[in-house]
Amino acid sequence: MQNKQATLIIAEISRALIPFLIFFSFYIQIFGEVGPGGGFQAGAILATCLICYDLCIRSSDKFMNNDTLLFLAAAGVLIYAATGMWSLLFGANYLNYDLLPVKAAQSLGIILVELGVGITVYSSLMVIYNEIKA
Amino acid sequence: MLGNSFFNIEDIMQAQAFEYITIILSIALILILLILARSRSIIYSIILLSGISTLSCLLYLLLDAPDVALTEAAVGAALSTVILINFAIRLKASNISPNSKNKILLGICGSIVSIVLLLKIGSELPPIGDSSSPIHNSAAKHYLERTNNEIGIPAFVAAILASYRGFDTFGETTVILIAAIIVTLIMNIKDAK
Repeated sequence: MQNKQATLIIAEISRALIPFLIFFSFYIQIFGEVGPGGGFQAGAILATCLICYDLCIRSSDKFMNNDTLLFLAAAGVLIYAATGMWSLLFGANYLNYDLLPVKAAQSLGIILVELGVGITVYSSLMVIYNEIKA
Repeated sequence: MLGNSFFNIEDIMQAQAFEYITIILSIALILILLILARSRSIIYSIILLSGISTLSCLLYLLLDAPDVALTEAAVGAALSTVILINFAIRLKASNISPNSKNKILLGICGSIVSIVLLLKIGSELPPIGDSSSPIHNSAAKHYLERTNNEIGIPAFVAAILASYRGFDTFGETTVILIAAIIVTLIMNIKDAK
């Protein structure tokens, strides 16, 4: 009986906190070039939020399959490599952001690259947790 | 105006307060490590490791590294504790035999030698924030001077990580992908009968 009450407190607090933490991870991802943050931090915090949901509230239905998550992880690395490959097509060296066709080219390059890193870190941490849990 | 406002009494007191809090947190870290070395139960050790990660996160924050503090809080204090406890539940209870006297003596001698060496070398380092030390004059100065003209974003850490040293970050991301693939392969080994 005591165990059930402890689980109830943790479940209700998680239910209140997790939406704000997911939003916070998106904020850290986008504002990585203005303040502290970036792709690694955002991916880790998003994975922590969904693992907390899995542990405290409901653990029967999986949000994403392991196959989908591995595909997402590889897609993140592909986004990073494709950003570098663009400047190779125009004759300069790899990962040279100045050749992107936007005025603030370095900012666009950094945004794309951090997006790739965030997706890969989130997917990898969820895959590791799913494998170890079951 | 920047030079005038640095020597206020409030700024000096704040710098001293940060120094004292850093010393107190480091001593607390050493005490937790000593308790961890003597603990016999696995779950107790895992919770102490999580406490060490939390204290390290606070120390990183006090030493002006908020990016590292964010990552340490999410990965070290939360995620690695979950994964270690998931493994520790599945372990069968094994009897931990106490170490023999020779091993304990060897451990104590090795620890004393390491402590003396580290204290001797650490006392010759320049003080934190000294503007004439070589760490602030060679590579960091180059990045701080050129980031505004060449890249144009306010955060130096993101500029170094994603633009100046973008290829290293590419390698790091690939390593994380490889870690996920390897864990999938290892946890799906079926017994060959």
